[in-house]
Amino acid sequence: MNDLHSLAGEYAVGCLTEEETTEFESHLATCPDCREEVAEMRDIAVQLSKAVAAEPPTGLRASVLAKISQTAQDAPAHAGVQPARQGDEAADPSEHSEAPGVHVGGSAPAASNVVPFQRRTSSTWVAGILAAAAVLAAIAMGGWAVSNRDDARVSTAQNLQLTHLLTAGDVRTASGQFSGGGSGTVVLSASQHQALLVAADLPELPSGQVYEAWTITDSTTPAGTFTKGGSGTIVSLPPAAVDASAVAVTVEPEGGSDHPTSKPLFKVGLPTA
Amino acid sequence: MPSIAMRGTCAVLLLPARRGTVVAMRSSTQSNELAELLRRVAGGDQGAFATFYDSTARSVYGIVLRVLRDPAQAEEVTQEVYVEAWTSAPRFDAELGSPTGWLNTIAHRKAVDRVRSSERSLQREQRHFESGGSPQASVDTSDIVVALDEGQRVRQALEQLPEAQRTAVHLAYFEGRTHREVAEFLEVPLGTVKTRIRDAMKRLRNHLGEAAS
Repeated sequence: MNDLHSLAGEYAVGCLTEEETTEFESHLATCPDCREEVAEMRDIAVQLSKAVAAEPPTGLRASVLAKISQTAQDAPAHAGVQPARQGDEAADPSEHSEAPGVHVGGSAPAASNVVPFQRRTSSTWVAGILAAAAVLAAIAMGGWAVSNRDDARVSTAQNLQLTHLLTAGDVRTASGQFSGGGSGTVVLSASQHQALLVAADLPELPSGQVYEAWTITDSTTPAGTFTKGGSGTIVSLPPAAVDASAVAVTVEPEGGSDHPTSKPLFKVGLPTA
Repeated sequence: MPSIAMRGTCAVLLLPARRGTVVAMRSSTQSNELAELLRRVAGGDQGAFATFYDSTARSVYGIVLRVLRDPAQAEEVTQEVYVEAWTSAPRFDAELGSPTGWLNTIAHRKAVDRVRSSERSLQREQRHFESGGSPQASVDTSDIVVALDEGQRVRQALEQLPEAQRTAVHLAYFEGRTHREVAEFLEVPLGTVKTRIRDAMKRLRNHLGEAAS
């Protein structure tokens, strides 16, 4: 019916029927020229989509993140046309934290030279609201992993503490993004002399490193170390935090530091009471 | 959203361009950052997925909304797109294109699947005509929402296409019609639609490459 080689453009703009799409995709598996053309055409289609870019509804991010936290992922594909990256062949891929199925060799070189923790340039109050919404959604679903496995009671107590705080008459919150990914909200109440940092979607740190919170007044004071929890982490801050002007988080060597030794990944000013 | 795109100024010096044009080089830089993110996503990293969402959500939601013309359905489908991206990230194959190309394909396909189910399609036609859409072959691109410089550039490139090509791309991509429907709509042979779309895509590639240099 059709010369399959000439269908790349139509395939990329998605105007083939379902049957034609299936047929062309089996052709793709055996035709490197078409694969290359499709890759190029798809990039043009991406440009077309950018021409109609629109701000998604504000709640969508939180609901997407909540949804995926409950969704299992597929097994990596092994039958790819390209070999897996070096060192992946022998090992069971399910035990890898990296994904061997994501083939990024050949024309698109493996991006291992991209520094994983990069600063985000956007940090708005909208993001903060969304972060708080994501955190609350995660709590509502009971999806909190126990961040300190040694003492599950700590986690339960923190959840209760958070509930009390959120219902305090003088509750204050401040939200922001972590520059390496993830978001955080400081929740505090002067009347209750309590402050918590609630963080979601933080990246796992390399072993030997921990997140460390700081309260900033005239000086910078250590406010506890923590590691990434499951879908969220609650950190109890010292009561003095209610008088602080800002809360920050840095990455420090295991055990924590007395003074920050790296630039803050996260810093929010606290609203005055 | 543009944070990822703006970061890669150093990486561009380190990474070989996949293709000769400037636009290809830039998208390659972004691709490699997104590929790294996707690799972490494939390992179950939800934080990486959040960043991936932030970098791509505007264009994903934009195209889904464009095809469906209904914010409520667009929100629903966009969520499905990201759930599929999460689920199938471990199977992402860079040889079939960039991470954004892959994601955009998922997005467009899901929107088109939704719109092609007949009843919804009828509803959409209804909305389209009620909202002043014209059944005539000449399609105006002035209602395209342009929020980014990049979008502006693409819009200019679209405007510089011969009208017949622009119309074919518009009906196929932005309206989600099959090539057969486009042929019937324009009253031209199927082969002509194929040629117009292919020529349009090649012109867009050349134009976007030149414009960026």
